[in-house]
Amino acid sequence: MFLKYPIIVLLFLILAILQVSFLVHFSIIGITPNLVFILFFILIFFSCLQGNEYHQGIFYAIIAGIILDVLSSFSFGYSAVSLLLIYLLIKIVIYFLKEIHNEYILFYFIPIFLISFIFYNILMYIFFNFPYLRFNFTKGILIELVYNLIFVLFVFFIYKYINNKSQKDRQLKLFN
Amino acid sequence: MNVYIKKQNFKWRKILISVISLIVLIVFLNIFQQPIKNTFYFITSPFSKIFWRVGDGTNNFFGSFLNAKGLTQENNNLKEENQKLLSQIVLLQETIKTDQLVKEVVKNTQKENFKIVLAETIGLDGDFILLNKGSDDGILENMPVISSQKVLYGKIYKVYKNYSQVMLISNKSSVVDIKIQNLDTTQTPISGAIKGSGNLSLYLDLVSSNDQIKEGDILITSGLEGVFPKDLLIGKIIKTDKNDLKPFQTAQVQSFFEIKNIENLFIITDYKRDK
Repeated sequence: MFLKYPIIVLLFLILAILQVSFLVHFSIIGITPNLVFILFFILIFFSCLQGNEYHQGIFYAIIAGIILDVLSSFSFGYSAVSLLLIYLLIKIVIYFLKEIHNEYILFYFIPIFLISFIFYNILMYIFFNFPYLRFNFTKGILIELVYNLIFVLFVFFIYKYINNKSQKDRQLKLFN
Repeated sequence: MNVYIKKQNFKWRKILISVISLIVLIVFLNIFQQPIKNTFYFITSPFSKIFWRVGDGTNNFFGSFLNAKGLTQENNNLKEENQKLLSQIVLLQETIKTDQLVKEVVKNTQKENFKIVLAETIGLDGDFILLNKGSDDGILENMPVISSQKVLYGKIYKVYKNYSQVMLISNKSSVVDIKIQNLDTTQTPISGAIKGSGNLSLYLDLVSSNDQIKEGDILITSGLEGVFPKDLLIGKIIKTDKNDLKPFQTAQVQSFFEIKNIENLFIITDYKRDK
């Protein structure tokens, strides 16, 4: 149980290194997927669905935020605060959705991810460019959304598979 | 009722303590930002370098299959461009023999008195590159960063003990004074500014609408802003955008810098401005 948190921190670090060194060579018009944000979102989404305590989500937001700030030219705090706000946003959205049936989970997952990702990028843009704000919708934003969506869906199915497997293993087996 | 109020007060106290803890943590991290980031890069740079090389190799492997068709066309284009450049060299050589003014051009484009430091690329995040040289190696902010082919990449943005971040010229905050390379020395050089539009893209701006620019024009630094030496390569114009209603014309630019294939860059540590 306590090993879970160091493993998650290690995972964030590995993904951060992959993001800035390996995936750079597979960028599309200079855009690479934000693996740290993707992992953060997956953890938060399923954590909120399972009704876990607040401290788990806050922990993920702070760790992911610190790692994102270390990689960037920003001072510490910008990413952590942005991710905390996103965590609150997801928590509120899932609360109002009440019951999400397992088979339709993907239909909630995709729009919530897209909204969260756009919100995160808007926050980072505001932090970096305040007060000289000038929003420009370019095709780069669309490509970034799609590219990150492909990766998050891939991670989503892997996480769901691992989650389901671990739940089955924990169930009482009456017959071998 | 008292129990409920107590519970609510406890909840608010918890939230307040959490917020204060977060603020303290952020302040602490920012005070020790330099050593924290430097240590992080120090620990992760060996892995970054490995992943960078693996990524480069993988990209080249798959790229050879995907680009096979385009290679022949690219080869033909390069042969054509080579021929054009050779003929321009011949023309220049003829002009050098006879024109007095060109002697001054040759004098001005002689090798600058630069001291350069070789640095290895460790990572790329957005329009920032991380290099493995820092203040211990004499690196300071705003030092220009170029490749071995004198292609301008950007300038040093932040310096840590053993690492530094380079802001590429494609960054939205970057503006570089340029001129358009013109072999005809009787004509006044056309000047403008290269601005970054993010995601490794550039565009040309602030070119007078009276000036004639065309696709294929090569852009080089003018050295006017005093940060970058002159005559460093930037890119070439791929599409012009002239609007009679606007005082300046713009153009899309294809940059000469290639992030995917660059492992080593040079930091100019002792740039001398022309007097």
